[in-house]
Amino acid sequence: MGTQQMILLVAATVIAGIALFVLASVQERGQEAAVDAVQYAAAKEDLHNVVDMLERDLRNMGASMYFDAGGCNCWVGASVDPTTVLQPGWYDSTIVAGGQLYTLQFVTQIDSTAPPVGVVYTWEPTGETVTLRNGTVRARQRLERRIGGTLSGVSNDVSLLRLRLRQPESEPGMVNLSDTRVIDVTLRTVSPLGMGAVIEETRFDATYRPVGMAITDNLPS
Amino acid sequence: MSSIIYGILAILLLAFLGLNMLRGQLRTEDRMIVNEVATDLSGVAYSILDFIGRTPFDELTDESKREQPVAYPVITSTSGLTPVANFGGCGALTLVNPTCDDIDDFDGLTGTRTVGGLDYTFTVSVRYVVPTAPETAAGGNSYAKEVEVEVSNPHLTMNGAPLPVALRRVFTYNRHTAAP
Repeated sequence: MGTQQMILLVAATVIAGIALFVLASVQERGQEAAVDAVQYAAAKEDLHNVVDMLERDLRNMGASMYFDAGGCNCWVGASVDPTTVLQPGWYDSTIVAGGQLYTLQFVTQIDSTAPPVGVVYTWEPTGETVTLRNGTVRARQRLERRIGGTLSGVSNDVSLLRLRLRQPESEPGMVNLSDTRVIDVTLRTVSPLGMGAVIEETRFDATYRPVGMAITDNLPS
Repeated sequence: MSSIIYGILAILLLAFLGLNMLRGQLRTEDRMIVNEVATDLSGVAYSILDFIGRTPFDELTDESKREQPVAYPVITSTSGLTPVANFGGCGALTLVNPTCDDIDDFDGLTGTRTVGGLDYTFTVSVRYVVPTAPETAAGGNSYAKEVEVEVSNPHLTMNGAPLPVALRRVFTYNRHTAAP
């Protein structure tokens, strides 16, 4: 084997090595992207489940009640007075290990054929944290929904749930929770399998205006 | 000479394979981002539909403007409801605007909402529908109005054009009967 052939052989080996390295790197990134997509899908599924639950409950807050002013001059259609749908102290937080335990209790209608029921949401840190790329540390939260003390919905992947109860076009700071007419929801979830690379946490933001809560607004004083 | 050609062909094949894999990966990431934007779009649409839903069904059925206590039935026919030709007039999503005080006032309204640093453009349209078949447009006034909110974002496109997400909600009125 001559010197020139030797050089060509070495060059070919180096080029083949580089090519294989590039191919392996691309393959690895492809696998990471596939895993990331699975993680994202898991986070999204959890987000959809929580939104589905929250949206129905919040939008039906105070539903199934009306004031029959032309008839019996009383509240009709339910066993509760709409002014008691959200009572003082029913949206509260206490300090627990790793963060805060939030509790929101209200009366809602979860089924159009059934009378309104009391629903209690609680969310608190699980003890795990996730650190986003920008350095923000989020405490993973466990969200529970209970109806009559029975657990009827749960998520362990909430990284942020902020509910802002307010009056129309006003800032928070209401005195009476029963004056709630608008609820701003900020929700973030992370994958149960680990934080995603492209989308670290999936998000949902919406503003709900429960019609049932406004039913008392135009009543004669 | 032939070995050089084979070498170049091998590198080209490799590059083709590598770039194809990269394209697939980018497509996966793109779908995730589009999915995220689409969720935001639905959140914006829900919020606008809820905003509009807080207003009375019609100017005529606004019980706060009637003598109290309100006698039922509030109305007995659809004839006095706002005709389609008079729909619209609301310039912005604000509750204090007297031109936005019932559902049909929002017809034709356009605007922009910002969520998470992204701007979402929305358009509202309102029409009368048949109460018993709400997917069917009513020939004239009826006790059901369908509100459609179409939201789009420059990041959610198809063939280069924004791909809008449309959510519809039907609002009905039932106080034309003796009991509310």
